[in-house]
This record gives sequence, C-alpha cells and structure tokens, in this order.
Amino acid sequence: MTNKQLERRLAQAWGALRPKTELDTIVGVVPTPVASAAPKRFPRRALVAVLAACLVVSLVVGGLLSAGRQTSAPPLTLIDIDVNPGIELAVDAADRVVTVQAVNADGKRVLNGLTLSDKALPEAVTVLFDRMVAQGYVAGEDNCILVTVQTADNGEADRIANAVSTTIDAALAQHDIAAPVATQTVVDFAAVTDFAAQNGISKGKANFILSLKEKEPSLDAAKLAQYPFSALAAIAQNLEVPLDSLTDYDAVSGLNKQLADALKKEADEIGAILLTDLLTPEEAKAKALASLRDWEAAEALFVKAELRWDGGVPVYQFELIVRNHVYEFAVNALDGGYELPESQQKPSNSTTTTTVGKGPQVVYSTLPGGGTVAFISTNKYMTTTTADFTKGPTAAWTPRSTTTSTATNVQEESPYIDREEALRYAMAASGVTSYEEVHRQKVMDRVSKVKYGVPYYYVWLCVDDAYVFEYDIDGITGAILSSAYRPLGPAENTQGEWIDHEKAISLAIIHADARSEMPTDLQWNTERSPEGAHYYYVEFASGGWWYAYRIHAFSGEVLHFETIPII
Amino acid sequence: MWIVFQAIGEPTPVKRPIDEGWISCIAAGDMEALRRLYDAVSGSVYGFALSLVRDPHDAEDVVQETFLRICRFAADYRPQGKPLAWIFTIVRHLALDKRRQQTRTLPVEEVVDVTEVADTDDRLLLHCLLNRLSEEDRQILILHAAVGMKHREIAAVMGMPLGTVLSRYRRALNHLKTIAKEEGLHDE
Repeated sequence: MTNKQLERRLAQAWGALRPKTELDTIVGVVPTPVASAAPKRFPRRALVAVLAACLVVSLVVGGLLSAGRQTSAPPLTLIDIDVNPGIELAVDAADRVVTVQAVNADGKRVLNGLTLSDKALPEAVTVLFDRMVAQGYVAGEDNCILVTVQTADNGEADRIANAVSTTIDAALAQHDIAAPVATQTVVDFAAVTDFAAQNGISKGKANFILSLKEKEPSLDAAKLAQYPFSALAAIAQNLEVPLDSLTDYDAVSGLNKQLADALKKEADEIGAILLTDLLTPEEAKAKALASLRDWEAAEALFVKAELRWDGGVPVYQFELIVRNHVYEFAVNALDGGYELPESQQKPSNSTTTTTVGKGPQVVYSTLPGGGTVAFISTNKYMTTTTADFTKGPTAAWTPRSTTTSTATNVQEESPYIDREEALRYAMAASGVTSYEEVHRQKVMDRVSKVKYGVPYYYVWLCVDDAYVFEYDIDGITGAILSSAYRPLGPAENTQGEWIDHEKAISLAIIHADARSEMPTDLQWNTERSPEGAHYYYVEFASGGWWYAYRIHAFSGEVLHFETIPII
Repeated sequence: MWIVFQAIGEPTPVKRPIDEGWISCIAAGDMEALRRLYDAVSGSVYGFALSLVRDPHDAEDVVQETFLRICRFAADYRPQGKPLAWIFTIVRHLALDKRRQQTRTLPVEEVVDVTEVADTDDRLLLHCLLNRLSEEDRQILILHAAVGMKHREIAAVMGMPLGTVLSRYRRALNHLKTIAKEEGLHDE
C-alpha cells in the first residue's frame, strides 16, 4: 500500500466517525450569555454589565410608521424588547403581531424557528420569554428587561407597555423567575440610528453617547463609541454629568434607581481620574501585541477582551492564544502600561502552573505523583516541552531553580555549552584523560532538540579502536543524561570515518536537486541499526516539497528517500 | 544498498469542506450556517477529541463545548483562510483541559475502540491509529490525513515548527502502514 492509498483509506475510515450529540441539543444551550454568567465571580460588575445591556435602547423603525402613513394603512405600534437579546415587534390596532425582527445576533437565535406573525401580542411575548429562559438569556433577578414602545398616542403607549410588562412578569413567573421590567417611550431616533450605523454600535449605546456629547461638546463621540458602556458611564460620572439626565426611563419597578445606583458605584471607584483619554480596546490590544514577537503577534488569537476596574484603575484584560500558549495581559487603560505577559502551557500530566516569559527558559515543576517536569522554551521557536523525569536518568539530573531570560540576552548570548565542552564532559564520564585515547569521536549538536526535557548533545566516542561510548549530555549544564558502552561493532569498524553531518546534508540536497532553491526547515539526526551501522536522517523543505533522506554515516550512500508535498 | 523511490505525485486530495464565511454567518446568528458547519466537521471534531481524551463521553462533551465556543467567539474570528486551524485549536485546548480533569479522577483509558465504525478494515485502521501511535504523531496524522488541515496550519495548532510536523507526519504514516499491515489490514 502506498502512502497515498493509506491517506485515502484513513480519510475514508475517519468519515465513519460521528458524535452522538445532535446539534439541536447543543443549540438548546447556545449561547450562555456572558452577562448572566459573570455575577458568580464579580456580582457588582456583572450587574452593571447586565444593566448596560439593558441600556441598549431598542429603537423604533420610523420607516415602518412612515410607510404606514404613505399607504394610509392603520398605524403600527412598535415594541422593542431588550434583554440582550433585542427583538422588535410591530403590532396592529388589534394588538396582533404584524412583523417581528431581531435587532442583534442574540435576538436572531431567539427567533430562529419561531413564527409569531398574526399571534396575539401576549401570546407572542410569552413564547419569546419561554424561549429566552430556555436558552439561558433570562435567569434571575440580575437580568433586567427594557420595553420600549412607540406609538402616536401616548395613552395607548402606556396601555401597551403595561400589558407587555404584565405579560412578561407572568411568563417569567411560570419559570419561578422575577426580573425587573422597565418601560420607556422614545421619539426621534434618526440621528441615533445614523450614529449607531456609522460606528457599528447598538442604538441604545449611540443614544447614550450622543446625550453625553450634548452635555459635553468637547468629547469625541466617535472615540467614545469604541468604549464599553461601563467606561461611558464612568466618563459621565467623572465629568459630573448626572446619569439620570442621560437616560429617559419611565420605570415601573424602581429600575431607574437601581441602574443609577449601580453606575454610580462603578464610577465612584475611579475617583477623580480623568477618563476622557482612555485607551480604546484596539489601542490596548496593540500594546499587548507589541510585547510579543512578530510571529507571535501575527498568530495571536484574542479570546477574551474586557474592561475591568482594578483598585479604581481601568484595566483592559485580554486573553489570547499563540499556538499552544495562552497569554493573559492586563493593560492599563489610562497609560497603556502592562505587566509582562503570562503564558500558561497546559501539560497533560502536571497540575503545576508554570510561568514562561520571553526567551529560552527551563522551568521545572514537580509532578503530583513525584518526578519532575521540565518546560523548555528555546530561543528559536519558544517550544515548550514536558518530560517526566521519573523515566529518565534521575541520578544524573540536578534540578535547578527557574531560569529566566529577557529578550535582550536571548539575542546576545547562548545559554548552551559548546560542542567542545560537551566532548570534554563525555570524555570525563568515560574515564578518558587525553585526546590521544580517543581514536574517533563525534559530537552531534542537538541543542535545538529536546531529550528528557532539555536540549542536549549526543557524543559518540571510539576509545582504543575497540570500545564505543555514547552519551546524551545536557546542553546547558553538561550533565550526563544517558550513557551506553559496548564493543565496537563490525559495521563501525570496517567502514572508515564518519562523514560530517554537513556532508550528509549536502549529499541529500544534491540528490534532491534542490540546490537552485535554498532548502528551508533543515533538520538532521542520527540513528544506529541493531548491527551497529549509523545513519544520518536529513530532512528539509524545498520547492513546495518535503524531502527525507537516510544516508549511510560512513559511506555517504543515499539509502532511502521520500518526498511529501507541502500544502 | 537499497533505494526506494517513494515518489508521490500530486498531493493527496484532502477534504476541505468548510466555507470560512459560515463563521461570520454564525456570528450573525445564522443557525443554518452553524448546522452546515456541524455537519461538515463534527465527526472530525469528535474523532480528534476522542484521540486525546480517550473516552467517548468526554469526547462528546468536547464536541458540545467546541460548538458553544464557536458560537460565542465567532464574532472574534479573523478570516485568514484557516477556519480549520481556528476550530481545531479550540478542540485541542478543550480536550487537553478535559484530560487534565480526567487525571484527577479516573485513570485514562488505555485502549480506545471505535465500535460504531461498521467496516472491519476501517475499524482496524482507526484502532491502530488511535492506539498504536504516539500522541503527537497521532494528532499530526489525524489533522492532515483525516481532517484535511494543511501542514502549516497543523504547525500553528500544535505549536511546532513546520519541519517537525512534516518529519513526524512522514514517519507516522510509515509507522501506521507497518502496524496496520501487521494487524492484518487488507491491501486495496
């Protein structure tokens, strides 16, 4: 069977695997709203987040009304329900639903598969809240619900608002949930709609920003649009703009006071700090990325970004993934200062958290069941590797404290012993006292590779033309990691001197005819057959192909080669 | 002296069934896009998770949590032509987290069976893949030959240099071929 046939067969077999979990089961719990998940850890902040979500003032589509006027059709009453999800209903004079649409992604998830047109308003509202409870959007008192009604008749608006509010209370009571419901009426949102569209934000947030801008014309509204709502509330408080003057609530359950109190507490935390020049989230992200290497920054995937208040100071907290590392950054939103990133490798067999900064590092942690794990970060790839030292030559191993390197000394000095030192350590271990006793020797530089958790050298010594010693030597300390001793094998004894690894590489490159295009990702290794014959394995990429060669270490013959297309 | 010419002409056509645009649709709440994505990759997500957590129930949990994460973070996805890399980075992290939890409770299963696979040869091949290769070789082989990810994407997901991925892929494929032959897999 060829490799290609095996690949095809593997893909075919793999296709037979399916999870038993149906998507509908998963959809039933999608998504877990961030706002309702947070209170367990940060109750007060979460409350503000929830309240902020509720401040996403749902807007009335004037177009529908004006369209109604143009066609002389009976005017529709527009009802926005905002829990985050945001959903907008248009009802006719008989309180039957004419249209329903989502105003955000969560709203779309709620409406998915629902048909509410032509239903009575109370029935439609009940169905919506049953669904929102089932999907986890409404869970308890920390949620609040904002109902916005627009109609030409103020009295009618009050009636509908009260009816919707009562229906929501009843629907939630069926699930043993009591959540505050606030109602409001709005008038002209044309400017708000335009501003929201221009800045890609919700209309409620747009309304808040424009109101704030009206009070403080010096503010940059476009910049404010990039801030989370909690920052906007803090800015308002900082500028001594009463929050009550920015919102227009006609609360039916004391929500207005609850909201104002919560926001005031949040704003009080930051005291007299001037907040108008907070970093935007994008600016803070750039600060975080700037501390990484170029390739890390290019591959960084942000999985969490939020503004929190740390001792009264606004701080952006980011979590990002680069390859198999998770970095956590805290960037001061006032001055852009940040602590050095922490990255957590998640080894499968260790419960110890290890800090890995920039540059080559060796960090040791103790396994719960004994033994040691070494985390290695090389200066080339920042590859962290784990090894269980209970399986290695522990007698020769000397645990050290954590070593740290800065980006500067990574470039200026190597942490490794050189090849000559490695040879001396091997000679000392074998009892050889002079170079004259060593008839042949070979030091394989493997400090870019890892064995027993550390970069190492492989040393092969032929002593008195009769015995072979082989050592793996710690590339940093020179400690003997493993050793072997045997009589010189017949294959080694009869085939002359080893070719150098550079020679083996050049033979492979010539054989592959890869000289015209500089090979990349070059790596080489040696192996020994049971008969004592040594081989070089040389691998490299060139011209979109990966080449792998096995070359006799003495004769230089190409014994085997393979190619794989790089895709 | 022996020389084996293992010339492999064109790259093996791999399945790349997912449309990157689905993720942005999911971010906008498009359930149909989520369904298409689920149909396309849930099998691979399950298999890859199973290869790491080595327990079907835990693998199911990883599948569920993966799609929850996809929904939650779809809006943060930056289109770079690497949707599989993004998805399987999530799967890998979740599976490794799950396995870390396992080690605190029960011993991890040594042998993984795929009894749900009907074809005997397919089952044998998957058995060898899941049980006889080293973990990193297994991951690399699965992600390329089965899932259809590019070598460079695998390098990013695994946190390895490209050369290492290619080298290990080649050796893993040869190793699997040898093992499967020993176990009695019929040639095509």
